[in-house]
Amino acid sequence: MKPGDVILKIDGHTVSSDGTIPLENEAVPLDEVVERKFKGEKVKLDILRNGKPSSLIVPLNAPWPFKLQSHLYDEKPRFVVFGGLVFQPADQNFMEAYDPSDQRLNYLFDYFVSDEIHLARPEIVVLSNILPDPVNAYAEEFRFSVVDEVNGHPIKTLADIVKAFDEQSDYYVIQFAGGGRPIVLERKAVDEARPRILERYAVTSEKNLEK
Amino acid sequence: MKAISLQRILWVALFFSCPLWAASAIENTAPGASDESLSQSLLRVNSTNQVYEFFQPWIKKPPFSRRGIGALLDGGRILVTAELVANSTFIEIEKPAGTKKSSAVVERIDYTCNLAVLRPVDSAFLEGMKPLDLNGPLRVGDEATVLQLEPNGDIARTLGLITSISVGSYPAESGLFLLFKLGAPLQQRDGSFTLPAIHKGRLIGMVMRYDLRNQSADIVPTAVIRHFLEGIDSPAYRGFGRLGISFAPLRDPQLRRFIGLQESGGIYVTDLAPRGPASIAGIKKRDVILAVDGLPIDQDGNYEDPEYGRILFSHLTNTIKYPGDVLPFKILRDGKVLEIPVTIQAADREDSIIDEHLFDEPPKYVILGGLVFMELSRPYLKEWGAKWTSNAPQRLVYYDAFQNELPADRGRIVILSQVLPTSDTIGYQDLDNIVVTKLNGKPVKSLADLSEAAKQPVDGFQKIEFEEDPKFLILDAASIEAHAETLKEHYAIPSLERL
Repeated sequence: MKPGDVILKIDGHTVSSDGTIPLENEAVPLDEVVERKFKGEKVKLDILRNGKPSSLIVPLNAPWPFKLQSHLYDEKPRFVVFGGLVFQPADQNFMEAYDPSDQRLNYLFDYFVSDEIHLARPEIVVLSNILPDPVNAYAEEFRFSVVDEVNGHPIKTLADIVKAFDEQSDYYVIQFAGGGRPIVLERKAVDEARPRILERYAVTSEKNLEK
Repeated sequence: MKAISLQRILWVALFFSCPLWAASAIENTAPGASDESLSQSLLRVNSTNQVYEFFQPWIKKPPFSRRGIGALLDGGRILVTAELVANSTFIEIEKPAGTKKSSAVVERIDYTCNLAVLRPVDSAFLEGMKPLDLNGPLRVGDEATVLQLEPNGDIARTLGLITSISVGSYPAESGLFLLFKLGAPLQQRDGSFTLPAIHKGRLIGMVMRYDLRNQSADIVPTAVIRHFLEGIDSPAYRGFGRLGISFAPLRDPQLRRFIGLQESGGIYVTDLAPRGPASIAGIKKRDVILAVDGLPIDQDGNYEDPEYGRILFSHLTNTIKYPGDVLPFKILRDGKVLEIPVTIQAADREDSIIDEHLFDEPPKYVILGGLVFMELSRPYLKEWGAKWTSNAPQRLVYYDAFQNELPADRGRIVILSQVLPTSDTIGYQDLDNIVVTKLNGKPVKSLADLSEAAKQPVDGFQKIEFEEDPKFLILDAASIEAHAETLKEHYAIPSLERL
């Protein structure tokens, strides 16, 4: 489909100019046809494009990226802890739990689908929490900032940041969206801090990548 | 025994306080310090102000009045805060005692420094009055007196102590300037806190805000007032410079080692206004500023000021220096030290994508068949109230907050503010606050662009394209034209366009 296409019929139901269809003697929004189907089924659309009628078959697949903005149940939060910094991908559950006031994060989340942010950034990886320790003493101002790069590697998913932290390096340079000052963590300092942070904050696992 | 020793203490206390009391008595009789003489330097200022209703940009909100006290300066200038007379429709000045009044006009107003100079319409009005002298710098712990007026014209003095001298944000939020905080229990007497503050009979600044809870007054000090006045006296008003730079302190030792920063001090450039002086001079994001004009900058951005000690270097660039002055910046970039000369410039509205404030001018708009188009501005966003950053549409808030990241040729952001229901806009009434990209195939980078493009409908239609849903909409050009007068009449709109 393209912007500017006119939907004439959905699965044979004539669509009115206000976007409703007659169903069981009632005018209901055309979404109803889709909502009554299951994942993997198909829907047929009769359309008018540039004045010419044609029809399309649309397979109903997984609803990503819309899923990011919907409530999720029975999913474990995913996270990574590095140098006392907790990174999480933002989704509806995350936004409700933290209610962050960061303007950039709010924009990226609200317009994730409509501004096609998901194409360049399938996940919004956020510095969600800081377990205070001397190694991260100057990180507080970055809470709820969105991670862009670690050591020059673009961070598009939580898996990317795990990979970047697994790489051996003297410095880990975490650059946030907007290009302000980076957080720099020295490998040595991170290694020294690790047992201390795990014990002090009773961290049982440094990462969870499974839903 | 106890009684005697207490008496002795009292005697000692009295003995020591006597010379002090005598000294302060002498001070009060110094020229310009007596009530009678001071009241010849003060004027009540009543300003009637009216601002535009941004959700109906063709009308104004109801008028309101602000009252404050102006200080008479040399040359018949009456100094007040800019806030007092912002968007004024009528200004009246009045002598402390007696009933004589005159209307006044704004000679010069500068919202960045929150100062304005007024002149009476009747030039003879100030005869017999005495201008106040400006005081030099003060230090933390010095005394200052805020002047208010009783209804009968008597001066009400409130003594306080300067509790802090720093460089901070002014109400217009454009630039950082020197700011005194004075701890003083002020009473709300005059309807606003535009009040002169003096030290030994000389003006030390104008109170512009008062925090009732902490009993702390924010004062625009004479350093800023002098810069403002000197600007007026120069052939063309120079205003206050700005660098167009955001920075972060460099306190983190891990970051300092990573950058290879050996010296102490230095700040990290985090953001630049694309057309600001620093950007034009060639300063880049991630540069470290080590010194400005030969003065070392510490890790928090402070320099050693001869008058005020360690304060933010913005005081040097914005207030001590003038637009046009060239300052060498010592920069660390990729491990190398560079010297970059930066020519300070006053903020230029034409350079900004989103206006920070629109004082004393009506907002622009274009109405097409009931669709109300405006340029995005901070005052527009502020119509969502104190929590506008959360409550206003997030895309617009994002544009405002991160306008430095927009492409250099982005131009103004034109929005469809709202839709007035008419026969031409049926079905579109629910649209609001969406960003316009094109009209009739022509890119829209200002309201003027939009107005121009509307004159050339394509095949009899106005095709308006948006950044977001509904991507575009189409109106019948002839029908809009035919209904224009009815639209004006129904919604009481004097004109369908104001550019």
